[in-house]
Amino acid sequence: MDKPSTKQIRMWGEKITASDRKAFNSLFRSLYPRLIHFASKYNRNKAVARDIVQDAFIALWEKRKQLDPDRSIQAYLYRIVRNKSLNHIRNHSNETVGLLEDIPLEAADEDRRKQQNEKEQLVNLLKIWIEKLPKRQREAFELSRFEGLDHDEIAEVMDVSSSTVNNHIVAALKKLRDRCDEYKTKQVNDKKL
Amino acid sequence: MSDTSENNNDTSDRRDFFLQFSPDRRDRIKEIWDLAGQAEPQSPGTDLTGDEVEEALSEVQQRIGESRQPPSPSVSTDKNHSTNREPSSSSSASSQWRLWLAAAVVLLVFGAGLLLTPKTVTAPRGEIASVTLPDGSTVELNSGSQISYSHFFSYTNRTIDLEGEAFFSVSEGEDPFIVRGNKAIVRVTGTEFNVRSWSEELLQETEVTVAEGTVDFYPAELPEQSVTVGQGELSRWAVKMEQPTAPETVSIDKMLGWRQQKLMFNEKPLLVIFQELERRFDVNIQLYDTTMASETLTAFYARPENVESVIKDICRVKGLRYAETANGYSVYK
Repeated sequence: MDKPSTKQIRMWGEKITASDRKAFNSLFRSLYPRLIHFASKYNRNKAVARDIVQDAFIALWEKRKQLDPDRSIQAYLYRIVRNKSLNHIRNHSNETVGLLEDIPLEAADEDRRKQQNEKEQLVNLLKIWIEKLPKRQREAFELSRFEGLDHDEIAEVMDVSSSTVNNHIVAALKKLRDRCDEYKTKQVNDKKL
Repeated sequence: MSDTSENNNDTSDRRDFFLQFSPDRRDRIKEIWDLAGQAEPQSPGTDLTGDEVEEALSEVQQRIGESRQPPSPSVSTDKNHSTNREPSSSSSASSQWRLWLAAAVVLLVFGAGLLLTPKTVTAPRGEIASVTLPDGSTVELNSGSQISYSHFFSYTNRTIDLEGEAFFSVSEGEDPFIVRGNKAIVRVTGTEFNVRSWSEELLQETEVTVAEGTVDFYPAELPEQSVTVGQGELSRWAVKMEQPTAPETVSIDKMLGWRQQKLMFNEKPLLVIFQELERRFDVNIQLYDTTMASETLTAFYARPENVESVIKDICRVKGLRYAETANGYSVYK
């Protein structure tokens, strides 16, 4: 999934504002899989994710003439997908977990963990730690690290200021670093014993 | 796992960002940033093929083309059966006429033989599908479930054959809406209900839960044994039984939780639970201890994280162990 350059997206954006269907199609082809992936983080139901992303593109087309050419069209799409996903969650999950509790995969099998090399272990742990970041920190961090959006775009998507975005990402990185450091120290101690 | 990060989003693109960290910490933070690039959570089933993207694009183009009409609810079907998609039902004379015309053309081109083979829609394992029927009724299919119906559906009858589990929201219509599964029949005129009827399950049981209205439920060969299942009630019938069970009140939200990706097992045998997990998460689960197969379990997950965490819980509760295999898990004592 190679992402198009910011410049390329900007060019498409300008053409779309001028009702260029070809540019719209190109934008769709290059961003649709990423957005489906992004929407799936909020909702595992593939059909729902698909509907949400398609609606976002349709909204983009319908609003093309009102779009501010200086603002990122990419951020616009991510923002709609995020809002719609959050709405969907709000409307569809009001029950609590009963009986058996949902238990996160905190301690994956110790044996298996020993077989992996150290870097793989750390990457796997990072996955878990990222999932456990406070919600907004995690969103900002993932949009930055995995979706490649810049701080201004993330600010637009999450509807906060760009300095808040920066704070979230910095806090997330520091937290991840601390967890990595703790883990390393623990490993060193384990070896001593 | 590859060593190259997926998008060109490495530390060199973000030099300014890293400048805010004190020099003695900067390198460590950069290291974490790079490492995290490989830790992107996988969302299963989102590797789209070029065809799927093109299909989505043409759907979007179509909806844009419809310009100023109110947006119609989008319909999603299994990608393999997308040609089965029905035009949304509109009772206006012209669209009825167009339907008949289309039917006539199909008849001429493909011959009548094709019309006799039923249409089928399948939800692939690991996914849920929804489909709008020619009469405007909607069906949500649980993972691995299939419905089939005649090409004359809504013209001469409204009969659906079900293998698996589906939630039906039935539009009012002249013909009764009939669902058949495991030799049982559910008959209604306009209501919302869920039918669960897996022939692969040992008991070959059919379970009906009604969310709105009432339905008549009876064995195909014993229509006089019909019971009426009302709103918020559930009834079961298995092939060897004389009559469906007396309707009992149940929690509709929990019974229909699969529609929101929840998992709900009410006193279900382990074998049935593992089969459900197999379909839902598209994995294979082998239960090696046959004495445990009929052990029952009640569990509810509002948001199952992944199949492994569920299997792990079940094993903990039932004193079993599990191991990962090439295509899933094996469970043993």
